[in-house]
Amino acid sequence: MGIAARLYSFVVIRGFKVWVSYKTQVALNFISWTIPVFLYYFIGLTFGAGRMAAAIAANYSYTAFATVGIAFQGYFSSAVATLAGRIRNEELIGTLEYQMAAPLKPMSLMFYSTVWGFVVNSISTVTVLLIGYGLGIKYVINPLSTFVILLLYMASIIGLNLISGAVVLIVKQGNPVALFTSVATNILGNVVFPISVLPTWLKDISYMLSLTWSLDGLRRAMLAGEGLGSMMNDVVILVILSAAYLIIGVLLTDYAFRMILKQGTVHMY
Amino acid sequence: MPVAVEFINVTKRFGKLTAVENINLKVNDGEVVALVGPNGAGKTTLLRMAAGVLLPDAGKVLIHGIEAHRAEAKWHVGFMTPMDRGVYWRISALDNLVFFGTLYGLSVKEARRRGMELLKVFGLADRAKDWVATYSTGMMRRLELARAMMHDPDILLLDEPTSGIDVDGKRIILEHISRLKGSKTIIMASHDPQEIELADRVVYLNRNIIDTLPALKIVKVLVKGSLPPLDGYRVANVGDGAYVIHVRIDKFDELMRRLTSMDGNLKIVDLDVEVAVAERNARIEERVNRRERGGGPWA
Repeated sequence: MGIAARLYSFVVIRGFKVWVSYKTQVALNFISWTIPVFLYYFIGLTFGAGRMAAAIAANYSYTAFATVGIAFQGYFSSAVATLAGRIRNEELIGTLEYQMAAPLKPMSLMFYSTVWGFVVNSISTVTVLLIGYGLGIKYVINPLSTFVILLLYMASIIGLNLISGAVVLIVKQGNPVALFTSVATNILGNVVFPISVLPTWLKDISYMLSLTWSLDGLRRAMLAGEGLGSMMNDVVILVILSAAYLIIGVLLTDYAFRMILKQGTVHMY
Repeated sequence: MPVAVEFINVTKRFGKLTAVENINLKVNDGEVVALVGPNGAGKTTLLRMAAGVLLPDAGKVLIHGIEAHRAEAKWHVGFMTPMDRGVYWRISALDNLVFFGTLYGLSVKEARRRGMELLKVFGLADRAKDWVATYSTGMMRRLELARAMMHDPDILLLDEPTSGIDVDGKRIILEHISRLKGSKTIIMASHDPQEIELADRVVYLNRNIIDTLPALKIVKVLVKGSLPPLDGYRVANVGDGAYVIHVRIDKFDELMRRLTSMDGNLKIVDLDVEVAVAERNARIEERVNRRERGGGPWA
C-alpha cells in the first residue's frame, strides 16, 4: 500500500530535497564524479594506448575500460556507503525511531532507504558515461546483455546494502562493510586496471566481488556489444553472488532489527 | 469498556538495570492516563514498548489485542518523545509531515492536505514551508505532535509533550490534548501538573506500578493578608503574611467562595496544582530505595 507515495517521500523529500539543501556538497559531488575520468584518461595517454590495451587484453581503449569501471563502481562503493551513512544519520537525528514506529516491515524500510543511493549513483553513472563519450569513447551497446548484467549487479548491491545497513544498526559507528566497498574495491574490483595484474591471493578476493564480474560483463556488453551467449560465465557467477549477498543481507537485517528492538538501541547513536 | 492498550506482566531490563518489572496495566478506549514517577522510573520505556520500538524481555504489550511491535498494531498508534530531534531540519515542516504521513499509507496528496490541516491546528500554517531548522523548540514540539497525529491514530503516546517550551506553545498543546479527550486514548508520561491535570487516571510508577488511582489533584492556593482559621483545610504559614492552603480539586470551588466572601484584607496571589498521589508515593518510594541501597537516612 502506498508504494509510490513512499518512494516519493524517500527519494524526493528525504533524498533529493535534503541533498540539494547542501549546495556546496552537490557541486563537490559532481566534481568528484568527473575528476577520476580525466585522471585515468591522462594516465592512459601517458603510458600509451598500446601498452594499456595489451594489459586489459580487449578491443577497446584504456579510457573506455576505466570510464565504464568508474561509472558503475559508484553503485558498489558509494551506494552502500550512502545507505550506511543514511541509517547512521537517521539514528543521530532521531528519525529512525519514528520510521520504525510506522507500520513498515524492516525489510521495506531498508528497501526504501536504499533507493536514493541508487538514484544519486545513476546520476553519477550517466555523468561519467557522457564525459567518456566526450573523450571519444565509442559505445557499442547490446541492450539485452547490458540490462541483464545491470539487473544482477543491482540485486547484488541491494544485498550488500542490507548487509551494510544491518552492520550499522548493530555497531552504530565504524562500518567495515562500507569501508571495504568504498576503499578496497578501487584495488580489487576490476575498476581502473584489470585483476590479471593482481597477485593470486588478491585475485581470489576479487573473484568474490560482484563488482568484478559486473564490470567485466558491462564492458563486454557496452563497449564490444557482446550478447549473453558469450558471457554466460559472468551471468552465472553474478547470479550466485547476488543470491549469496541477498540471503546474507536479509538474515543479517532481520537479526539487526530484532537486536535493536530487544536492546532498546533504536534511538541511540 | 474495550481495552486499547494492555501491559501484561511486562518486564524490561537494560543489562543489569531493571527499567520496569512485572507491569500490569489496562488502558481503556478513550481514557487519558498520566504515567507519573521520578526520572528513570520506566515511563518512557513503557511508552516505547507500546509504540513497538522496544520489545519486552518478559510479558506482552498489546494494542487492541495485537502485539505492539507488529505492523497491524502500529497503525493505531501515534508516538511522540521529548527529544529535540526526530524531524528533518533541512526540509520544511510540511515536507516532514508528508514524509511521515506516507509511511502510514497516506498518498502524497492526502498527506499534504492532512499536514496543512494539522499545521493550522497547531498554529504553524504560516511557517509550513520554512525549514524546521528555523523553528523554536516550542514550534518543533508542536510539529512533533502534528507528526504523531498525521494518520489520525486512535491511541496517542506522548512523552512529556510540553516539556521545555514557552507558555503559548504549552497552552496550544494542552488545549489540543484537552479537545481530544474522549475521542482518543492517550497515555502521557509527565512531570508537569498541567499535563497531569488532563488525565482521567494517574499511574504512579517506579519500575513497577505503585499506585493506580483516579487523578486526585490538590490545588495549592497562595494567599496574603489576614487569614481567619479555616476549618477542614490544611494551611501552612510560609511567612511574610503569606499562607498556602491545600485543597482537593473537588473542594476548590467551595474554598474560593469562602475566600472571596472574606473581607478585603486577603489577596489570592497564586494557584498551583499538584498530584497528591504522585508526590506522596514518590517520597515513600525514595525512602525505600535509600534504605535498600543502605545509604542515606530516612527522610
